[in-house]
Amino acid sequence: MPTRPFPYTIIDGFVKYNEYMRISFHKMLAYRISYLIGIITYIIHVSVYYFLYKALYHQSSTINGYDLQQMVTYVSIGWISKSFYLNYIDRELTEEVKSGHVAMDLIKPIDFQLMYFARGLGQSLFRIVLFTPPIIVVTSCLFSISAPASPWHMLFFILSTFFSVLIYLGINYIIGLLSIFFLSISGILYSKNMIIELLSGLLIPLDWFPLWFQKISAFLPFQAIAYLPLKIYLGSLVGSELVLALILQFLWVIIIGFIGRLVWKLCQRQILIQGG
Amino acid sequence: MIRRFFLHLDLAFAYLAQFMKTRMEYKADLILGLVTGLLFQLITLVFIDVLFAKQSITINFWTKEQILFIYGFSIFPLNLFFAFFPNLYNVGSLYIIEGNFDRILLRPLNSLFQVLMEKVDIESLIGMFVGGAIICYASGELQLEWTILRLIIFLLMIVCGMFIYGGVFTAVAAFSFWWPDRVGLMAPLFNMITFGKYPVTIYNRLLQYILMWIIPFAFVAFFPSTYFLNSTEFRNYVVLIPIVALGSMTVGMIIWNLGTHHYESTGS
Repeated sequence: MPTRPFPYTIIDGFVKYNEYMRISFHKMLAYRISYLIGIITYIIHVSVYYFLYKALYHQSSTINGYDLQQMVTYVSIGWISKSFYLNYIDRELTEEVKSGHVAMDLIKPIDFQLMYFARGLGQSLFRIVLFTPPIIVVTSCLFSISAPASPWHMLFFILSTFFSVLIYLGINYIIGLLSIFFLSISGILYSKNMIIELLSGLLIPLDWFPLWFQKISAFLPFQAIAYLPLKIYLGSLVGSELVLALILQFLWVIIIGFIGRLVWKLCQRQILIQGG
Repeated sequence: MIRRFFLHLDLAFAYLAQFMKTRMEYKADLILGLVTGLLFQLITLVFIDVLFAKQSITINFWTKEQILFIYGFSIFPLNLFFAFFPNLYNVGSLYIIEGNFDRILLRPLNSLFQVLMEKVDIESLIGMFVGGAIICYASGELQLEWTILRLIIFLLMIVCGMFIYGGVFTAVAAFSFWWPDRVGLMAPLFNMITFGKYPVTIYNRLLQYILMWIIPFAFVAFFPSTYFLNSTEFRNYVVLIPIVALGSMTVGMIIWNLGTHHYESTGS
């Protein structure tokens, strides 16, 4: 593609990456059985934690400042939002490195990171349109979920979850790049999911953890994925706390994006195309 | 019949030896696998620890130490299953959609045996050290007595647990013979394993019924643990464990065999 003057480069860029987004969206449409099963999987997750917390609250009405209703809401909304901030670009990147298809992407005049971000956004778009709504319906039928603290909190929650999407994308991109150093990283991919579930506060709110742990996690990007948006939903963050949380999330988007670019620079020296 | 069994046993060792050689080739991968195996167990441990941050808290009258014991126990059958049955996860994609099952059918050996032996994840067993440590800790706190007899029953029960998982997932993998799909039902069932880590009594009637009689994950860790925790409430179920294991594996193998007759090669 010949280089065109400034305003066109942005439009061209948008068209280019938009195409990646579109393709990812359609790919997700192709797997119908996986789609149905995905919905069931989320219901299973919410159920496990619903019953666990219900049993935990059988003697006390509040634990660590949360009552049962808040906890059920926390867990349900947590998994509902996971159903759209999740993406599989780490797995896709690994597959492409393994099969050598990554070579085809390298010769294209595109930014490698933006391409994967576009793919991930395509997946999230699919999820938010077709995947998350049925999960919301089923979950709210089975369990009693509280409404957000106020319409404003809902709005900020949505904004905050959009940041979650970007942070998760950034982390997945970095993890996916690791496959260039280690040829088989299925173990990392599997445990990464679990580590993020725990450290992001999805399984259990971070303010239940011991203080020293909370201090550490305040400096990690994971709390920005689930804990902060959920606290916003519950209305626990107001005023300057809320603004601070959103700024923190935004900063993590930038930092992780930057680390991703740095790792990619290192990778370009390491890359090894398998097969021929 | 007996000769055939020994032939399979003999070949199992040959497969294992071969597998260990290929595994040692990528040392970094192996170490990575071991580390992630340990991390995997630690995450639930931390979860339980944080959940019971307040001393007096119980889950439906199950104390933290009891819950820890059940979790520690659940690691053993699960890791045995991860070590010896990981290839079931690939049946849909690698063997059926990509047609590798042709190769399996050409050999005069049991097809399920071959599929299972082609991939063994010995490093998954590392998690058992965590499981063992948890059980030791919980046993100490709860002042549980361990005798030789109990140890033998323990070994028997973790093997039974492995076969319960094995049977259920063999059946699910075999569904791919009828409806080829890359991962299919495997994923939600894998997630259902989580239900088995906690006392089955915390769930509602429907879930309890499913976990006991349809997908019998309650027999993998919870019922066996109640025996060691000296709870007599579930004594009748404890006796059933070997039968459930045998039944689960039998049903799995029957569905698998029916499925293999239904296999159509991709033909290319």
